[in-house]
Amino acid sequence: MTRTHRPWRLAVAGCGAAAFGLHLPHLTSNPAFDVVALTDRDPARARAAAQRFTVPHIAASTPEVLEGADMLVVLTGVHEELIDAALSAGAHVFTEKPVSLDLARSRALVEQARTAGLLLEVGGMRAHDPALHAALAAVPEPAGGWLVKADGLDETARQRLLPDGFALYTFADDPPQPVPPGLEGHQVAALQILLWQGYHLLTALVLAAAGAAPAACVVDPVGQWLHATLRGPAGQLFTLIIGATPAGVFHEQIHLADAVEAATVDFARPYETAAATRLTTSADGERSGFGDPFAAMWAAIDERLSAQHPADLPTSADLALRVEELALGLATMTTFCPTHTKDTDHVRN
Amino acid sequence: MSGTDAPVLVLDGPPGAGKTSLLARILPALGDGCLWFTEPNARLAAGLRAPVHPSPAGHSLWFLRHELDKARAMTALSSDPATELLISDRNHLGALAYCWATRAEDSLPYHTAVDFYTRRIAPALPAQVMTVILLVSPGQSLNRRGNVAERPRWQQWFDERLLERLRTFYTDVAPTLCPSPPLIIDTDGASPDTVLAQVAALLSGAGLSDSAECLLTSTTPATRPRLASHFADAYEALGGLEALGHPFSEPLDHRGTTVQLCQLGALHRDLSGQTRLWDLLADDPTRAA
Repeated sequence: MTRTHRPWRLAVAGCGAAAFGLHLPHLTSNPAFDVVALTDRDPARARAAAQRFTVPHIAASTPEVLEGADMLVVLTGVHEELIDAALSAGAHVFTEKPVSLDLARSRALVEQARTAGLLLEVGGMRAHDPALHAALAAVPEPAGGWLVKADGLDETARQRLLPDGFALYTFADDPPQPVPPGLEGHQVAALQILLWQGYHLLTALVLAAAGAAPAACVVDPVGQWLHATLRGPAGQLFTLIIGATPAGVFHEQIHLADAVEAATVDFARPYETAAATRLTTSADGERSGFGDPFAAMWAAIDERLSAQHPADLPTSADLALRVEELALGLATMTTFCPTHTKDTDHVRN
Repeated sequence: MSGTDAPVLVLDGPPGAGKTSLLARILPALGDGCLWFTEPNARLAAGLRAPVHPSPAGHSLWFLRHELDKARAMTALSSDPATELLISDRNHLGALAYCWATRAEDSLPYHTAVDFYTRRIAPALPAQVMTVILLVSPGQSLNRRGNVAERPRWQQWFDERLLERLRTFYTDVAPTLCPSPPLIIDTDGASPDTVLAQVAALLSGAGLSDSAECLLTSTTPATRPRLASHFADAYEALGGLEALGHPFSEPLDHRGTTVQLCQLGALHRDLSGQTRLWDLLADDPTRAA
């Protein structure tokens, strides 16, 4: 439809790699949006972002960045307080995923947005990925599958996006993130792996098999490898593997199959063009050149802000809660893979 | 499949073409001999069938999945000896039309939707599917529906350019996507009686002469029937006007139960007096033969 309104005024909180490499380049070149202000806990970084992307105002506080904004774009490591502040101020919110590590807190924020009649959009961009859509169309009722991620590129790729002289933000720099009560240490580690590294895989799984439920989950002693099994409503089995890998190695793959068709998606490396994503099906062979899920996600947000998005669609917040529920279910049942000892190695050998 | 399996009559076409009006005319006339599927409505889907995908492409996938489920259900129901005719308000054509006509950046590519139809839905369809495509010009479509969307969620169906593309799809493309050549009726300037007569002729040609005769002697329903009081609670619980639209038929007696059609779904009161959504996909034996 032809645009009949002014661009949406966006305020951006957080100027890390996601801001420099993904959101700000897109939002400042998209006529649907106008980035009017940004803020970061490091003023020098905020100035660098404002200069590179020609953002007119650098705010020193959350209330200041929200002044006159239609939507707050939350790109920090911890999201909850910013979401709450924006909703309380009457602004819509986009937040990078996950909403939080604490499902109860996420639910409360989603409800807060709903009660206020505001959007809480969550950056689950896999829901907008044309390659995944094609896979789901090829195998609409998977009898099983696997989902694998091993990312040895993320740190290098993110560092490359930042201006010289700025270090990557890490979760260690952030305030502590509340987690659901009752989780043991290795279960918290599992939850973090699932929601920080495995979020897109869980999104794909929810979309492929909405009723899939956790069956088993194991994490290694140093919290780097996680293996999980999930069971669909008809007994379908799905395997989820998230693992550490040497620098330079990257795999993010989903495989869905039924009796007549199999679809495998090998996703593009982080921060690289989505056109490199490959879909392989038994019927059509290998395809690539798919559209950009990130642009599609922001187009959908524009439509939802304009009330043009079909109102009988679930929201991205609904999907986010499903993903967080699944992650918490897996984390809760996570067992600890015992540390190797020479004795056990001897027995195994 | 046996030689006595019930055929399927599909009514499809752009918004405002008169599909639901025609259905509201047909059902009272055919009575217990027919079962029907109302227009797909994602908002009314529950449980594992409820949509989870927040993108327009995901929405189209939901509709295609729904049509796959419906094709299987129709195949199972067609062997019910009590059923002479199955009727479907829309089928895969509706989902394909949307993919073909929409220009949304995040929509499901048309070729992907067609592959879904040819590889998944078409093989699951019953043996005999008769398609009636009701055409309408954008101007007539808007005029018949009052020109303004009554609810924000219906707004896109009042976009004249989308309506024009949908008409083009149903004229030029849809006939190639029907299991057998469709009956195409241009409803611009056609009276409800002449449309009904053409459908009756189609049924007669398919060997359903008794059903055809029933249609020809049917009466014109009230233009805006009232919701029966015993459906009021279920109507509100399911989302009211926003989810179901206005009532579109008087309450109908059907196999000892009661059904009332609305624009976007139907309500059912079963033998025990319970009211709920009419949904043949929900596997309720009191309705599904």
